[in-house]
Amino acid sequence: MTINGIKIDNFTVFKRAEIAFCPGVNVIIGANGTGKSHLLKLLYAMTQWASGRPSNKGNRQMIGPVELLFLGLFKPEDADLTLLIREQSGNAPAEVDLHADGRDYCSRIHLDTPFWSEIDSSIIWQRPNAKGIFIPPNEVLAIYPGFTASYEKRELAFDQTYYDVCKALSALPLKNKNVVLSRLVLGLEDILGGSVVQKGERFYVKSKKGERSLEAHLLAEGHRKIATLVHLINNGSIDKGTVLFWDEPESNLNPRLIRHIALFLRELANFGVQVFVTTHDYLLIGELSMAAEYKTGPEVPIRFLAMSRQGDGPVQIQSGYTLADLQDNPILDEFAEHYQREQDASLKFVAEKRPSYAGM
Amino acid sequence: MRECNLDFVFGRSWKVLKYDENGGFYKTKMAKNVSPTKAVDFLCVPQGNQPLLLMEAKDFSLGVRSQEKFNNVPMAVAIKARDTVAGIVGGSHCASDAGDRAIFTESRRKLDTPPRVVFFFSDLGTRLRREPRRAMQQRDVIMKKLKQHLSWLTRDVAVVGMDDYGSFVPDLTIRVV
Repeated sequence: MTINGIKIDNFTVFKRAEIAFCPGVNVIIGANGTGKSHLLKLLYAMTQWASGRPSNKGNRQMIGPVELLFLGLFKPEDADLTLLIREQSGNAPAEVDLHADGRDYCSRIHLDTPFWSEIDSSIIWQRPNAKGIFIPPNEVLAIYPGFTASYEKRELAFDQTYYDVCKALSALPLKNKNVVLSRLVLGLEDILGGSVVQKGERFYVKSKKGERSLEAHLLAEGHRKIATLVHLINNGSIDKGTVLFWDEPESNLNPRLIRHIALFLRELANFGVQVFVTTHDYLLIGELSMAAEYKTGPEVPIRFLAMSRQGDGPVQIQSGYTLADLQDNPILDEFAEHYQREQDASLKFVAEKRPSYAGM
Repeated sequence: MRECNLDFVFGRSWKVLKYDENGGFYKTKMAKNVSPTKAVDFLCVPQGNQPLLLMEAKDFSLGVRSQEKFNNVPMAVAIKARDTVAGIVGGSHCASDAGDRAIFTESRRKLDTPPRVVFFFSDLGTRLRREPRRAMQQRDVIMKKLKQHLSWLTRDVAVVGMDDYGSFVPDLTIRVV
């Protein structure tokens, strides 16, 4: 499945947004609170419901699969889905249309509040056999043992993306692995220094040097993230046709690993996995923009989306093929501000210590 | 050609105009009549099929004028490039000096392809700023901002220092005076 675009009306911070995506790597940046993660979860949600599921139309009392999914992903307070409808919209519904596979082939969700205390949802959809995998910002290997069972029985503070990725991790590795994916896995295993092995509910990195295997809890958090990727590829959760949603891949990762992740994402896209990432990382956007501009490495389409808001206003979205196309780039702006602060501090310091040096 | 406290010696493969010099087209005709307007330091016409070069130099190594801010530098350079492109058009018709007019005319022809904008930047001479990796990092930030501000004109943008200007501008020697 390839997601071509999404149209969002009155959903959380989105008043009206119509966004086009590329089949390769889609990079979403923006300050906190501009809806990056909501967009990612929304796209993920739209790939999740299985064909053949009945709609809830006319049955206002039933909490159906759509509602459960949205409750799980967005965790609105008191399980009140009306909170997902943009506040200022009055009685207008929230609507989301997904366009995929190059045709007018859409999944739509419609949240309505004819009465404040009630919700009516209906689905107009033709859903393809889509496979989406969402990797949340915090690594999951450390919480994996017993997590899915606990999540099914108890109210946990984690959103459903954590449950879904743990469920995906529970599958055992495939017997026959694709050659291209195997090569990608080898690259990640080089970073880890070993292969990923699952024994029961625990994951281990089995050293290539014959040293003792390390249990996930003993690994660095960044390495646990890499190990998660390895296992998801090995067990077929990430494969050709999958759509990968990765929220802030840079969290817990040393800057030294960022360029490997940037290359990995492009190689995945080259293999046929559509990628969506949100990021605050200067290096990651720099590496991807450099690849887009100078056509280094695997040539895959890359698209940058910058999300911004004025106060509580609706989200505005800019898009471009490299960073230079984005006027709103809070990451770059903040680095420039940092060097300005440093210049001011340097000059003040020099003026106080060496008056003859300051200014010209 | 002197700029800041640096001597720029262009080789024979270049025809160069010190674009913002006193007595030149920019000062006597353009800036006099439409103000405020800005200009890059050097307008450089290369031989062959190489792109037109607009070069601006800024040397913070001996200090910074109070009104100059790091943050404003990319926009300031982009504005200079913008105004210089306009000046090229005007100069090709209206420059008094025949030699200058010829350079403007050739520059205008070269603008059939996107120009190269090179910003030579020497940063503050403090210990922290002199650290080479730090210097490269700061140049990267300036370059990205400059590319953003010049995305309407060209993608061929470079921010260079004493250590690497030769890779982007061949047949040029820069000496500290």
